[in-house]
Amino acid sequence: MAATVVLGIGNTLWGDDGFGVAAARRLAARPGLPPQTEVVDGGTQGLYLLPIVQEARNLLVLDCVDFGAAPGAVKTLRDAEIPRFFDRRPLSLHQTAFTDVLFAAELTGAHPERITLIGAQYEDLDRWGGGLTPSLAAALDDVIELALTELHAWSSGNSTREVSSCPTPTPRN
Amino acid sequence: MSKITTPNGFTLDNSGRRVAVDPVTRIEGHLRIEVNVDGGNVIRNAVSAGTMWRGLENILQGRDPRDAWAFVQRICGVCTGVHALASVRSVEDALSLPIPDNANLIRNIMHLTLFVHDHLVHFYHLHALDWVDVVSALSASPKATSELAQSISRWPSSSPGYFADVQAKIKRMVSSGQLGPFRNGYWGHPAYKLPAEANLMAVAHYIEALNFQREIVKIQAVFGGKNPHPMWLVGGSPSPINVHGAGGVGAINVERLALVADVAQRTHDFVSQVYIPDLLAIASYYKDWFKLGDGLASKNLMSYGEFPSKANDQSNASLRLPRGVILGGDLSRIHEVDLKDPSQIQEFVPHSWYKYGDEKAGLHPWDGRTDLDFRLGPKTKQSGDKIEALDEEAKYSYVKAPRWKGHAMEVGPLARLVIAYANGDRRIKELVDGALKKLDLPLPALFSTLGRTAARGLETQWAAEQLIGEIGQLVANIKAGNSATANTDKWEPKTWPDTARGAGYCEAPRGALGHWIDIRQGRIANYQCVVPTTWNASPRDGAGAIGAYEASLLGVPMANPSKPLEILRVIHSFDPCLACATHVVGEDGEELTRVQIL
Repeated sequence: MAATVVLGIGNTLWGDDGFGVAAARRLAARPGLPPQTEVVDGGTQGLYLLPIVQEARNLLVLDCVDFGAAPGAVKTLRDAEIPRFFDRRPLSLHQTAFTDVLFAAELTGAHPERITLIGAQYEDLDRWGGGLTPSLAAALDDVIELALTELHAWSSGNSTREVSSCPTPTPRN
Repeated sequence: MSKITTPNGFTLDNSGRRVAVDPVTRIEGHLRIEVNVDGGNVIRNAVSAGTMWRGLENILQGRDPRDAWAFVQRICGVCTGVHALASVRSVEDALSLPIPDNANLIRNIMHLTLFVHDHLVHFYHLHALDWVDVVSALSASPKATSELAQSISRWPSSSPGYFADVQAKIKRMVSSGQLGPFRNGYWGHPAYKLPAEANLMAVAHYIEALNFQREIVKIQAVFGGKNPHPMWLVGGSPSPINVHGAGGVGAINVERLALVADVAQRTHDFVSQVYIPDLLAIASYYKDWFKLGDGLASKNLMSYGEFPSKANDQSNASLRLPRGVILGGDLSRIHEVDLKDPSQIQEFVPHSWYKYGDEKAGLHPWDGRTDLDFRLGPKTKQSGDKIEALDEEAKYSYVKAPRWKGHAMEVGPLARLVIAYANGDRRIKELVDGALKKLDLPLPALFSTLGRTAARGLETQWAAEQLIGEIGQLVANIKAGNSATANTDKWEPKTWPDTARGAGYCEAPRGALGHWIDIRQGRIANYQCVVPTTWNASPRDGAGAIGAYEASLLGVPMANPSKPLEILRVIHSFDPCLACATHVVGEDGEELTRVQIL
């Protein structure tokens, strides 16, 4: 496993829930990824994603989440901010909250040094087989740019914490 | 209704207090269980409701049959491989497309690996906490824990220092309030019976099992090209064999086969030295649970069979776990199961939120329909938008009611093992009889909550042994110069008939899975899946016969209905996976289980 792992999570059959996987796929096809970076389509594998999380030094998670913001709004959370947020809701449609995976990694003593979550506010999870809603499809490019910035900051050895404390959600109508 | 007897011989009485548990935790997907308890808190009526809708079949229509596996493997969070396998088998069946020996072996290896992985995760991470009190582990003596561990296994991680470290870790976690996956437990519940040392040992192995996943997934990655979401192929296996290659991308070479063999051996050791000793040790403290939770188990069991020892041969001479049905508890006769006989497997919807033209009819999956019809019965109790009690006399679940020749069935590891046992399989008999002897229990003890849990463990042991054998066979084939992994004779749709129908079977870790496909002019005209949890979580059928979950809860006593640990024990013993049986409509973030007593 590479030093840095980008993990797209969600169910591609479930409308906007497939956002994380769609973003990961598009990112993987982009030139200019830093070396030692692996992009993984995590689907909704829950606890089965643990081996991937355990072996990553830096972990970047892409997902659709509920911030209570406008559809397509993008938010970045880092390290300790993540469990605080995720503890309140399950991993998308999955019963194993992603924090449980992070917690399990901690229990086993193999935890990434840095974790960043870039999430997009979903609009509709009920479009069974319908793909992303337009607002989420439009958020893909923003998320990929944010992801690349984060990955390059990691690869050059800098934490982006000081650089951009929390990119503001960009509400869309 | 107050007191009635169902056509399948169960007495239901809904006059007592109603308890609703929604959702049942530590499972995939959403399941709601309602029970009525009598004055002594014994369950006298049970209602199992899938609260999510599934419309998977509808999105496959019009697609290329060769791509179906990639869609169906996303239906479920965890068991991606089983849907992919059933799907490619359904297309191969429709096109009469034989696969090469090596492809059969590779599929067996991937599927056996999944069995071991899935059963391990179920035992330690989904089910163990029903029996193991994490908080009690804090008061264990590490030295006594070490003595206990060494008395039941030669597994090396067993020193007092090792258990002291684990205990310190749990202590830190509990004192920081970050309980993670342990947060939903009913710690201190009077139904927990393990001594503190057994609890600490089990928690230590919970963590070791988490780590062990890293090993197991290597096998899927070698043969499936990647993990998660390994690749599949209609007509065989997508991984080329390139024995002397230095590791072309995705190719199976000598180095990778050696890795796979090594992982398989270590998997076998973990199962036989950790899982099985833990299972027997925990079970020995809960022998009353070998009498509770029988339900359909002592009556009707079904398996589609799995692990063909000969490619393309689905007869019981070839299947390592036989296909068949046991009816009415008669182990002397195994009935034949035919997925393509329209009179055998049928789904009914009088109590399901779907509509058929004729509500009384059962539809074979080739003629199956998935049309939504959400209507609550007149006796539903509601408070605002919240349902307090479902009306089981009307439609009450998104799960359909599948029946074999009209009979409700239990499926899963227990069904597979009992059918293999009844079929005279020597190794399965040794494993089952050996475990029963160690626990000093008779054969009928299998038909119970812990019987299911034990069967899953013994099947894991069996699968780990088979895994080593299958890898050896693949290596032998390759050494003999046989490197074919795919049959591409019928890859092009122009080689197909205008219309073709097929059925793909698969024994998933949690039971019988079938995919039925109808191909017209090279495209999917209809596609239906009947998944294991549909059988086990089945609602009542038109005649009023109840399904396996509902039946298994009857007669189970609860210490405290507001802390329904006993319901979790029974239902978790089936390893439910509602994600593919149904489909979410629940509110976001509504994660905390509501236990409501009326």
